[in-house]
Amino acid sequence: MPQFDPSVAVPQIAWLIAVFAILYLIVRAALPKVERVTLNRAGVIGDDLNFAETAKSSAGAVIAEYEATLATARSAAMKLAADAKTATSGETAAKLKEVEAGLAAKTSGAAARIEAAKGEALANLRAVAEDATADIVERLTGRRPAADEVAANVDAVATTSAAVVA
Amino acid sequence: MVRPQLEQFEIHRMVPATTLGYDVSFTNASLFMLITLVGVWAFLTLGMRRATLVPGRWQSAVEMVHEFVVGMVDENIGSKGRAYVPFIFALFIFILFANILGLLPFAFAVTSHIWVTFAFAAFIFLLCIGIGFAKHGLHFFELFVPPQTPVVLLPLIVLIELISFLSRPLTLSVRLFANMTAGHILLQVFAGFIVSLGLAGGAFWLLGILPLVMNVALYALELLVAVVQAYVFALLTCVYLNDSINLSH
Repeated sequence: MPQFDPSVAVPQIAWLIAVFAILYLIVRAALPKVERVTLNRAGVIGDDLNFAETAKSSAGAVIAEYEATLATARSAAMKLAADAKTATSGETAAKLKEVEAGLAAKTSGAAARIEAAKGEALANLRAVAEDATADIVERLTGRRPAADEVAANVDAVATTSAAVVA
Repeated sequence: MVRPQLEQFEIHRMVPATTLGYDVSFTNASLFMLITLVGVWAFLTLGMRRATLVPGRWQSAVEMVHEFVVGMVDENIGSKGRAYVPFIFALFIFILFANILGLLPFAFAVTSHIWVTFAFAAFIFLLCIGIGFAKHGLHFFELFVPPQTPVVLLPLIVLIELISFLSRPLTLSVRLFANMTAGHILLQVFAGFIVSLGLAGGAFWLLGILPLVMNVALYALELLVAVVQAYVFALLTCVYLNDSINLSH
C-alpha cells in the first residue's frame, strides 16, 4: 500500500504540522466571536424572559388591584342600596302612619256625625211619632189631645217596646 | 506496480523541495490539506461574517459545530476543559472536512494516510503526557493504578493499564486510517465492477446497475463514516485529555 511507504512520511507530516498550526490559529481567532454571539443571544433571551416575567407579575398586581377596587365598589354600592332601602321603608312607614291617622280622624269624625245625625233623627222620630199619634187620635175621636198627654203615652209605649225588644 | 484500487492513495510530488535535508515536497496530500484549510476558513469566516442575533444557515452551522464541540468537552473533561475547546474544535473540523472532501470524485483523502493520523495521535499522546505531568507531577503515574485495586492484582493491573495507555496512539491512528482506506477501496472496487460490466457488453451492461446501486449506498455509508470517525477521533481525544487533566479512570 502506498500509505506504508516511509518516504512519504516526512513531507506529509511537515505539511500537516504547518497546515494544522494555521488552522488552529484560525479557529482560535474565530471562536470568541461565535461564543460572543451565543452568549449575547442567551443574554437577550434571558432578558426577554425576565421582562416577560416582570410584565406578567405586574399584570397580576394590576388585576388584583382592579379586583380589590371592584370589590370595594360593589360593597359600597350594596351598602348604599341597603341604606336607601332602610330610609325609604322608614319614610313609607311614617307616611303610612300619617295617612292612617288622617283616615282614623276622618273615620271618627264621620262616626260622630253619624251619631249626631242618628240622635237628631231619633229626636225627630219622637216628634213625628207624637205628631202622628195626635193626628190619629184626632181622626178617631175628632178631638186633638194635649201635647204633653201624647208625649207621656208615646214615652210609655217606647219604654214597653224597648223592653219587649230587649 | 500499484494495484488500481490503491492508486488513489498514491503520493505525487508536485513541487519537490527539501529543507534542512528533509523532504518537504508539495504533494497532492499537501494540496488537499490546503484545500481543507481553506474550506474550514471559508466555513468559519463566511458563517460568522455577518453574525446576527437570529442566525442564518451558515452561522447556524458554525454555531452548531461549536456547541457540539463545547458539549463534548464539557461532558468528558468538565469545566477545566474549556481551554482545550479550540484544539478539539480544530481537530474535529479538520478531520471532518478532510474526510468529506476526500469523498469528492478525483479528490485525495488526507486522513486515509497512516502517517497523517499517526502524527495527530502521537501529538495527542505527547500532549496528554505533558499535561499530566505538568498538572500532577509524579502523581500522574496514579493513572496506572486504579483506586481500590487488591495488592495481589496490582502488578497485573498496572501492566494492563500501561499497555492500554501506550497503545492509545496506535489505536487512535489506525481507527481513522483503516476506516477511510477501507471505504475508499470499497468504492473503488465497486466502481471497477461497473466499468468492467459496462465494457463486457450485451446483457452484462444491465448487470452493471447492481454495483452502481451498491456504490450509491456505499457512498451514503461513507459520508456517515466520515462524520462518525471525525467525532470518534475528537471524542477519544477528549477522553484521553480528561485522564491527564482530572486523573480519573
